[in-house]
Amino acid sequence: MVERAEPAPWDRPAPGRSTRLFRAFTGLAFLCALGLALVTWVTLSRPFDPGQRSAPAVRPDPAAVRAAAALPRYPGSVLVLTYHGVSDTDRAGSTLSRELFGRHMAVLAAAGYRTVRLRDVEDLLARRPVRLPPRAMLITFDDGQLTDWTTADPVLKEHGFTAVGFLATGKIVQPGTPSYYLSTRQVEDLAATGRWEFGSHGDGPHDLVPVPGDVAAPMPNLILVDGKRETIGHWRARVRRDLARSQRFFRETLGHPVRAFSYPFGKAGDSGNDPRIAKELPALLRRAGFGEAFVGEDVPTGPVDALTAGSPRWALDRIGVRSTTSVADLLEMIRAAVPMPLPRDLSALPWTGDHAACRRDASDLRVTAGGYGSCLLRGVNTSKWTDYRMTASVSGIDPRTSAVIAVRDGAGTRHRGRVEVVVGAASALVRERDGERRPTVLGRTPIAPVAGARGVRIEVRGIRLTVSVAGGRPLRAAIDPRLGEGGLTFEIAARERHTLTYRKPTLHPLRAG
Amino acid sequence: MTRRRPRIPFGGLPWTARLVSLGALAWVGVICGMIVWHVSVKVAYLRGNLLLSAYTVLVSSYVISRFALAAFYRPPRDAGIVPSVAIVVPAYNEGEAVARTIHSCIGLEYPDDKLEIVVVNDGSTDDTWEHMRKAAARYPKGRVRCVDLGGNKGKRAAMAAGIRATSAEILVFVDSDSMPAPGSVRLLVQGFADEKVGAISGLTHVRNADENVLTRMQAARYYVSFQLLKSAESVLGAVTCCSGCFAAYRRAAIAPLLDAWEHQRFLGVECTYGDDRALTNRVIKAGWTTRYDARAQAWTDAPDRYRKFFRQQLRWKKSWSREGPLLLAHVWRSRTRALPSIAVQTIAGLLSPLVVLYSLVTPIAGGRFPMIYFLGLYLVSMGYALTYRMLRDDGMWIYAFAGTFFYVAFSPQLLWAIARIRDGKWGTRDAPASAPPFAQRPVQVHGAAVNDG
Repeated sequence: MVERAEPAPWDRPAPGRSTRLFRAFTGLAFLCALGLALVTWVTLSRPFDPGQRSAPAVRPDPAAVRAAAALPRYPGSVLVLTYHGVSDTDRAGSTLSRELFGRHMAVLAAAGYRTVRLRDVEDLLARRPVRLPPRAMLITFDDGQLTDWTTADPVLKEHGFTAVGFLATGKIVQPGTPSYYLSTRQVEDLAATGRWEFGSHGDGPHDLVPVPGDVAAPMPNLILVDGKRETIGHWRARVRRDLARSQRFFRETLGHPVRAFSYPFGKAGDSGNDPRIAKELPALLRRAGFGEAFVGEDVPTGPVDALTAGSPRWALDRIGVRSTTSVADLLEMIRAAVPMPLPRDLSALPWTGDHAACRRDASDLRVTAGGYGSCLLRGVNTSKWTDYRMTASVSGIDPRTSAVIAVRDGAGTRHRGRVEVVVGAASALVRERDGERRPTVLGRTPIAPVAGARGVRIEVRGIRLTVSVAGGRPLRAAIDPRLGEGGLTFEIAARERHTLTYRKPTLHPLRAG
Repeated sequence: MTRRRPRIPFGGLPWTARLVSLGALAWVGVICGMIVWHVSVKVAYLRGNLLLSAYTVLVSSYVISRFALAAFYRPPRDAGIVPSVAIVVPAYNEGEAVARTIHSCIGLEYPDDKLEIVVVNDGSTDDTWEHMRKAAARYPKGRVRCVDLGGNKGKRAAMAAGIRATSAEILVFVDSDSMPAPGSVRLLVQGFADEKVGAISGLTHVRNADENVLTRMQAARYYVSFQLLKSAESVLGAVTCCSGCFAAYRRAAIAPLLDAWEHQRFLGVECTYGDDRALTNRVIKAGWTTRYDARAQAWTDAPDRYRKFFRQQLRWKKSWSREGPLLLAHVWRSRTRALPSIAVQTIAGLLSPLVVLYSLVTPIAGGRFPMIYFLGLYLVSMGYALTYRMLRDDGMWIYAFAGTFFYVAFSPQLLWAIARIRDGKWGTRDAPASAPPFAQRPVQVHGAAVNDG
């Protein structure tokens, strides 16, 4: 090393300075970059944890409340509603505005609806003794959207309602993560309110997938895997895995598995493309620890029944509510869903004419038509009218006019058949229809002429039918088991304009047979 | 020219400079606050990859704790004691430079009868020994003691021989290319007024800082490391490395462990590097306190070529990987309050290369860009740069910023160091025109390098 001529380090002058302007510029640039970095840092680190919004102030429309109060009651039934999101900013068809949701709840609360817990539902299905409020309801929320926490819960709290959240568990995020769905912490918080119970809505991706010839919900279908239809074994393993993952989520988050399930897309096994699925899916659900499963995510396109002791455990109906469902629509759907107890005086019901004029006259029902006409019950849930005896006497039958009384009429139910009792001037017959097919005659009897009204007695008990027409021998027949429920109609078949009078049409309940 | 007074950074400065320094301090506070807030969010919302979160929390708390502890650092009180001091200078193939070192040590402001210089010739093959004798002959007998090992025995043997050749109370180690400031030894020994103190590290600057970008980055790095990391460790009473280029040890502390230190073996091989860290480690293990004195300053040469620099880093990383776990094995009882920071430093330091590689590979492999990681790195770098700017106004703060990235970028070298930990070669010996084995040995400051990530 050479001897350095330079001064000792501690005596060295400060290093050469760049100009004041340059230094100021560098410093400023760095400070701006630092500011930007800090802003980004805050944006990235800030936890996404929205609080609850207060319930919107809504005053229920008095007319709606009156209409709601007039809804039928059926002791031992539970009305089940399906909601998804509740938000003023989300435009999804399944998302209600906060105001509309508030009005729904307010009207239901004013009409005396009280919520029940899943445990009550289980007891009801198991036919264990359970005390249900006179108007019992179960509010469910599918998917587990964030709005369950932010907007729906405050409204429920206001009305003292409880709810069931069916979580698409794969979509539930870690706390603080920006998401459209709940976080595990919000699930815990909701559970801690005591208002919320949870069920599973499946775990896997909540998307329609290709199935042979279509796209459909993955759970109840054999889907296409690599362009080939999967085997039933593959399907079984896939669904079992999905259910197990979902239950694991609940064990980890809530500390216990859940009992209730709601089918993704509301599609139960019978909607699938393989008959074995309809049979096996409930078994898989049961094995995964579930006790009941709900269908019905959307506005019902077919009949919906409120949940009762006899409801099918693996396909429990719900009324889907969407952004377009006004309070009036909701009440209409509820009316159609709540079973009407077996009435005694049939003439007092709101009959509507179909190609006929229906008129109530004291305790008689007068049907006038110039051809074939019917008196129907619209928007009445007759699903509980299974075992009864109908008595009436008919006047006005002549050789050109027959009386037709239909039982197990499929309008508004899950089948399209009916059983008709035709009473003419000289004979009576019983025939069964199923859809558009030609009717099958189940029995026929000549009847002796009688003076005045002719008494008719129809007994329905399960699949057994007994018809007694005054002046004829009793007709007994077995009904197709598919025609398990349905209402009654009073009809006229006339060559020219005529009126039939059904005197004192009355129902007497019978013990189930 | 007034002496720099880093401990009272704002003293005697014009008000504009004072304002800039205070501004830098405020920004450091803001950065620390942001990191603390981020960590508390992480803890409150445990989400994502739990391992990565744990790593973030550990490293962030470590970095923040350095800033916090360093804020409480005060240099040892000037007790006015004048113990007998021996400056031990090991030399190997130094040539004329050894004479320069002897002259500069003699020039130190310290009572002549209390200061002794011990120069050890470690079997040099050149004329080092002649230069030593000639230089020593210029001073009264007893001031400079020359020791010849008679063969190349290694740096530890040279230092041990030097220590055995003197009876001074305090032993000051100065590397042959280090240059202590005139008053520095007097300041350095003041800390020994405390009976429990076994070793004290001085503050080492880079002498050739203006050479190129590499030396500038090292200079800024040294300064921040000393002022932050060593200060923080000093507050806890356990400075883990009293660096070989300028540090003082109490004779009573090292005499009993001299033999074990000289012949330390690790994984079946004799340890040739990391002598200072190993010695400090043993002093702590024996129950002594180790401190840092920011007033005692020395200047040393840093490698000015990347090749040499990487080799030096490899040696330091090897000695860190060896001494870190050894320290951890006893620090829980020898100095319990330093355990958390040393544990975190060791664990995070070992994980850091993996995290760096993971963060670089993830976006390439199609994963998400680890924005938080790189932003965090940026904030820490700015924290260091602003700390530098707060304490010194020489325009080098940008190098403190860039240097942090630079050091982190090659922290995966640690993996290589661990893999080759038994290889005792210095790595400079076979290089052409290489410096002597212990000529290029400034302080070990990579504790910061492996812990920034």
